[in-house]
Amino acid sequence: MRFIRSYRFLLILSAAAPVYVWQAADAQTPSGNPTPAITTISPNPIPYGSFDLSVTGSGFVQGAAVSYGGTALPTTFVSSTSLTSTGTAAPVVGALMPITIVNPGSISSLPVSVKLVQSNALIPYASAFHFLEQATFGPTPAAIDHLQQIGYSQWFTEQFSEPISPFTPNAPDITQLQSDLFYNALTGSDQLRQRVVLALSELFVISGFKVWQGSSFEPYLQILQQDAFGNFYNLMNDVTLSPSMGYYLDVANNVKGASGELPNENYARELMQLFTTGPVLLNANGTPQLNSSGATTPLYTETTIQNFARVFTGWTYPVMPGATPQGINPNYYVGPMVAWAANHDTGSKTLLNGLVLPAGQTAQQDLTAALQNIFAHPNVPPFIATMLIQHLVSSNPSPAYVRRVANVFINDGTGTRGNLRAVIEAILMDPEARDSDSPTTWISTGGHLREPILFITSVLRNLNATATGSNMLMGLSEEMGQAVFYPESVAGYFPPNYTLPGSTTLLGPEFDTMNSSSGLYRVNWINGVSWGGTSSTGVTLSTSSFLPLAADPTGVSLTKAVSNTFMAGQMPQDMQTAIEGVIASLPHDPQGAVASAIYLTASSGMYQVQH
Amino acid sequence: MKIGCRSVAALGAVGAFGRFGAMNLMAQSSEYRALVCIFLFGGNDGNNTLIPTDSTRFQQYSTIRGDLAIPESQLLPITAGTKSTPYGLHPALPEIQQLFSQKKLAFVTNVGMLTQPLTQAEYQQQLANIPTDLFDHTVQQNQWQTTDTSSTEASSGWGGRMADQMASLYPSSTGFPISCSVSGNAVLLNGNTQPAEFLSLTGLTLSQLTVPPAAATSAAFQQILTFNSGLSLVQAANTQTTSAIQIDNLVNTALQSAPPLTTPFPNTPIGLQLQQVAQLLSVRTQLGTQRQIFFCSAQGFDTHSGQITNQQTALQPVSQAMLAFYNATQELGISSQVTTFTESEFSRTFQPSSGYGSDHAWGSHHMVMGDAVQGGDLYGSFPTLELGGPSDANTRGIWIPTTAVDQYGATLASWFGLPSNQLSTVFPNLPNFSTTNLGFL
Repeated sequence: MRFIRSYRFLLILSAAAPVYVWQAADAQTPSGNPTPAITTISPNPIPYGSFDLSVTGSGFVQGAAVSYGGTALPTTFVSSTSLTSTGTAAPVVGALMPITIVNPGSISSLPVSVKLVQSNALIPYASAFHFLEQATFGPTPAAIDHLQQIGYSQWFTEQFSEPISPFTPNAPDITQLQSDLFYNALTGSDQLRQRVVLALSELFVISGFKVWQGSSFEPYLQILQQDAFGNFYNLMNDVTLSPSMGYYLDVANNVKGASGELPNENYARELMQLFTTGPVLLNANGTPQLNSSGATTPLYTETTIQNFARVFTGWTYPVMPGATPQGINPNYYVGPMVAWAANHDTGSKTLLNGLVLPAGQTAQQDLTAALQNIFAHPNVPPFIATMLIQHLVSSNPSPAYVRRVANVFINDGTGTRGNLRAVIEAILMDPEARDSDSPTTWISTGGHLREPILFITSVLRNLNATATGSNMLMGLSEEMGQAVFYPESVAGYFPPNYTLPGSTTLLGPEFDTMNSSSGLYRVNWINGVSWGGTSSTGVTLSTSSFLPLAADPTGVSLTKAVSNTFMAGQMPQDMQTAIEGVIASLPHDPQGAVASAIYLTASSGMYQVQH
Repeated sequence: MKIGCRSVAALGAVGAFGRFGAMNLMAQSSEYRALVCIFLFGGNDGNNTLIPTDSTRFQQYSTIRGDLAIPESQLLPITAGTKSTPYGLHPALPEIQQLFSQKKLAFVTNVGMLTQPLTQAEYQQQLANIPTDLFDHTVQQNQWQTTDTSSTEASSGWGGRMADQMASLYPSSTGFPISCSVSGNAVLLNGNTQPAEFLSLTGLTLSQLTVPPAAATSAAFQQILTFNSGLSLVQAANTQTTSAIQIDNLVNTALQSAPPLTTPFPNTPIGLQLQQVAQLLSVRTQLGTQRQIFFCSAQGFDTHSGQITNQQTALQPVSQAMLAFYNATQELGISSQVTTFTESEFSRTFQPSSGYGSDHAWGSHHMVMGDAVQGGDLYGSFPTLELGGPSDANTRGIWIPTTAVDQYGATLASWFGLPSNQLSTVFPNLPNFSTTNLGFL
């Protein structure tokens, strides 16, 4: 209901705002000047940077000016059929610039829309667009241009060394961290890291339902940020010793069996089942190993879990500054957990693949050996490959794709196992990921539903919106079925094996967030956005740059622009025709035409699914 | 209820009046029935939900459970009809105690996932079909809803399969589906042919589609949803949106015409969900439904640590909401036509774990509620409360179930009207058990 109110508010606003009405051209106008008309524009498309423009047409008079998206350019009158002009082109939302000729007396021609392009592109616009959908929180005009200029290799180099956009240290509450996530996503230059951190936070899950303080949650996000481009082993180690995780899954203050209690199994189980291996043996391509009767093979037994639970005994919270170390330290979340020898189960333990840890080892020795035991398991490469591919590229990767990425996990080319930079690069540069670049290579089962966080950030970045550090975008995300940092369980916001609605064979994890209410909420939010509103404070958004394009009565220009903005310029023909028809039916309502074009594009399944 | 007559009456009515006439007749008759599932996510500890209080077993309980044992003085005593010994309920369950003593509620004991009857030796020596990934939250949540004990995947749910079988016997005049969740997307309700509706109500109404000012825009919006992109996920998203719009219209229109319920509900997540179900029940005639399965859920049962406090916090709202819901069905005059039942992925180890908690186990005790329930009694057998004893799968007090989820579900399904010849289609493990109806309905 909150949304509907704001929408009405927006409508009133738009009704009160000055209305841009295209006047149909008359042959002769009251001022006596003719109505100009454009025949050709050169160059077309216009390259970014300085340009010299030649316009031919008719009805040009002395004092006529070339209008470039509403800005008058210095113009030289050559003849009544020819003008020249100079200007500078920069990336804009829509990648399409309406050009008109304005005779003195504000007598304007019909616009001709010219595409703006990067003339030194190493990568086509559409390819850069799709890559950035997978690797960032959404393509902005500037981000597309930058990638086009520098190419993938340089882009990765830059991203791997971008400074980390921080989450607020000692945040007063998790709400601040939620704002930070959207702020970093919309404005941070370390896009790849933040996107991977989101994926990792959905793999190594903790939840604000239990870890409820900003000060206990934020250190965990720091770990994910710092380790996102490191080695998977280090990530696993740092997560294991994180007091936030220790509190969430009970490694903190897990003491060896005493007085009828046994060590806590919580982390031991989830570390393998959800975070690193999955419950059944996998082939190298991520498919389950099936025995002769078609059944899966469990990777561990209840006894294995109990042995791992004993490994993870003897750890407690870091020692608060000034406090005396104890076996059970009070909750404190700065730095890794510390061992307390007397609480560690020093008996021998049998782990995966029959590895036996000898009796008498310290808590640290046992933990290192156990993590190495898991890290070396053949399930880890295909399991992690599948998880990251699902979050970045596709819910249903082919086994061959998983295998290629898993192979890079096994060996990055220098003999190192678990190099996350190499894995991320392999995921994004894989031919199957790049099949997204062109409709001719789209895979019918490819892509993934944009989860609410990514749906919101993609729309806003497509439109070049910005947000403040105190934005309230988390409220939208929650209404759409994803309460940021509050997954309902350790399985995350949506389980990786959630079946695509209507299918028995395909997966659609993010569809678990979509239902009758959240689905409508997504559409309704787009309706608000299309009128220039976001239903959220702390966000600056404008759709007014589309307005001049609405003057094209065929609707073609505006449709192209929204296609460039949201769909890499690849909107299917049937959608284009439908949207052009709507625009053409609103000749005196440019605001409505712009809103309709954005609404119809961004609410569609074609957009809601990143593919 | 004369179950045997219903399908005959329904078929006769279809023959006599044609499809639409039959539906009106059915909707106005007393034949309406609903099942309401409350899923306790995280694995509710059955061992502290229902406790035997005869001196021998209570002694076993307090010795082994140690820090987790609830003092007898705090337990809520109940007398189970056919049982000679007393039991007590968790102190968070006074409303459940009341319903039980009024015979509106029964417990089914030691229920869990089973493919076939299983002895301790068969389990320990792996001599029989054992459900896969028994102690895994996700898989067991799925299996309780699918009864597919060989799969880790979320395939079709038994509620959804039941809807598949029953949709033609009990069609809905408005197209409102049999299966409806008010708690997100539920595997239980996934059918192979029948759609399930996953509502997520805000308050008591659905969010409504904001209609763009231009009619042409609205029309194009609907049209674009029908385009075939050839991309499976895109099509699924369009289908979801289309269905959301239809249901939104249907439900909101119906709710606007319904007199508000006066039964108060607690302002808790499960309280609000059950209030939403009650509200939907109040417009069952407007929605044109004759059979409905609802899915609700409550969180917070994964009590690995701090269990004494955490289970209290998790159970109390369930108890309060269940009584409110029962009262609402009385207000609507359908307390004999609505049966509510609990599910949860597993119970918890009888032996505690470090941190005053317990770990994942297996068989647990579950509740069924409604006037149709033969209440005030326990059904099924009760595990022997000994570590490593005859009921234990290993040595931590992980009870091997003596009643299968298939039997539990089939009993509910039979009452719901699923023809007996379709029971094994919906519950594929059922033929492995000699008892197909547990008798609590």
